[in-house]
Amino acid sequence: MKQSVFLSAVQQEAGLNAAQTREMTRQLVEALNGILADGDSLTVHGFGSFEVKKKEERLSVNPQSGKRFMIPPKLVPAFRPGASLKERIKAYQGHE
Amino acid sequence: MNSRFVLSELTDALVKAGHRRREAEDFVRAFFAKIEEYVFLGESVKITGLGTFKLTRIAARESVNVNTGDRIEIAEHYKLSFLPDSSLKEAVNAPYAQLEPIALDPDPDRSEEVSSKDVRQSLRETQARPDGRSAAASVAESAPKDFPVKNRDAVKKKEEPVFQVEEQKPEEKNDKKGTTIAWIIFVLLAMALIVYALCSTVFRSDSQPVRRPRPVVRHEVVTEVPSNPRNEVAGSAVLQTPPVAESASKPEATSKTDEVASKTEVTPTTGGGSKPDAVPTTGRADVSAEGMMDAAQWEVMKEITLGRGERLTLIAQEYYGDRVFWVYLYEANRDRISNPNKMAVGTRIRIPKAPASVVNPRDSASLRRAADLEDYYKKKFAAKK
Repeated sequence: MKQSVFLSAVQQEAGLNAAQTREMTRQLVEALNGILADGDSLTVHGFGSFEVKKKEERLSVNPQSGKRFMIPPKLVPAFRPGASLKERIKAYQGHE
Repeated sequence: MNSRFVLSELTDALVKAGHRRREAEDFVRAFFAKIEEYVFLGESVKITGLGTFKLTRIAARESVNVNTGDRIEIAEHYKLSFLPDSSLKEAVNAPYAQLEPIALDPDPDRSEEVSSKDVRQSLRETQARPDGRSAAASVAESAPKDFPVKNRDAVKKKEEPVFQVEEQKPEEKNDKKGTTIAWIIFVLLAMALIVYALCSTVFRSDSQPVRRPRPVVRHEVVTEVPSNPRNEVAGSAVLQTPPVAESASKPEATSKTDEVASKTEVTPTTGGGSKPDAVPTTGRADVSAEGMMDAAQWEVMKEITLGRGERLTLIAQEYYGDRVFWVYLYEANRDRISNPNKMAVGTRIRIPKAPASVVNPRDSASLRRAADLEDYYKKKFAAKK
């Protein structure tokens, strides 16, 4: 879906105007990025938590050339749904 | 690093940016509530700078209960996937951003590949052999030409591996490392000769009755046979037993030596000397000719009618004390049995009175001779099928 549709829904729900919503969204994303970039995690009660996971280094082989590579470790952002969201996902049978 | 924040951290950030706290709280709550709402409507919610939330369907699949080993089905279900935006990914991975994949030295990998290819190649070669025998077996088969008297049938199957090693001797002598093997074989041969010399004196009384039935044959042979091949065979006979257990198996080895030696003596009666190539076949023929002559001439002790499910081996067990002596039953009834594997119900079978020197379940020499005959007939009738 388009972000504009989503934001207008948020705007209605929170009772704000469009400009406020856009700005707040930008600032929220910025704050969340900052938290994750520091390697911290953020838990949103009732929704889930954003966190950083470390993928360890590994050996990889290019199947065509047979060359081996050492893939360096990396940090990836991840989202883990919380308990109530998990319950809802479990009960979810698909939309329609 | 690694601090755990809660939602208030975000509202605090918004408040700091100049928004009213109530508005900020409302907004943040609405923001995540709407993500959830739209996600459950089957939409994928993309937030620029953060990522995409989406419910993805995981198809049903079968799995195994690790505790019980039972097959279980994992039903179709959904999973909330979060695909971070590349900008977020980069920001998060900043500490490791300068790291790049390192191409490793391909050499070990290459050589690994080559070696596995080699293995596969050799495997294919082995499989390509028509008789399906291993390469080692065929090598061993090609070797015996160099040996004047080599009776393959004289050796039981389980002894074959060692037998092969012995047979490979002439080839390995040509090899570079063959010298050490040749040395080992030389030592073993020397030991074998000593053992043979010992047993020929000690076990003479044992082997005598076995030879008694055909004294004439034996005399002829002894004069004809050159001493050299006999020594060779004696050596090989001892080598057949695993060298590790040599001390334990000496009695067995010695009796075997006797046995093989006696066989060697019989060979030239029909074969006429040592024809390298024809030796295995002549050996077989001799064994059968010798036995046939005997069993057919033996006095008939009893005559029975074959019932359903009866076998020569069972009859042999009953009358001679060992299944392996069925070969003499067969030889005594060659005119009535065309194939011992397929005998007609109602066939009359002669049960000859066997001399104790030939059929004696407690005499290892007679058992082994019967086993040789059995091998020969097994091969003969397996080939007929």
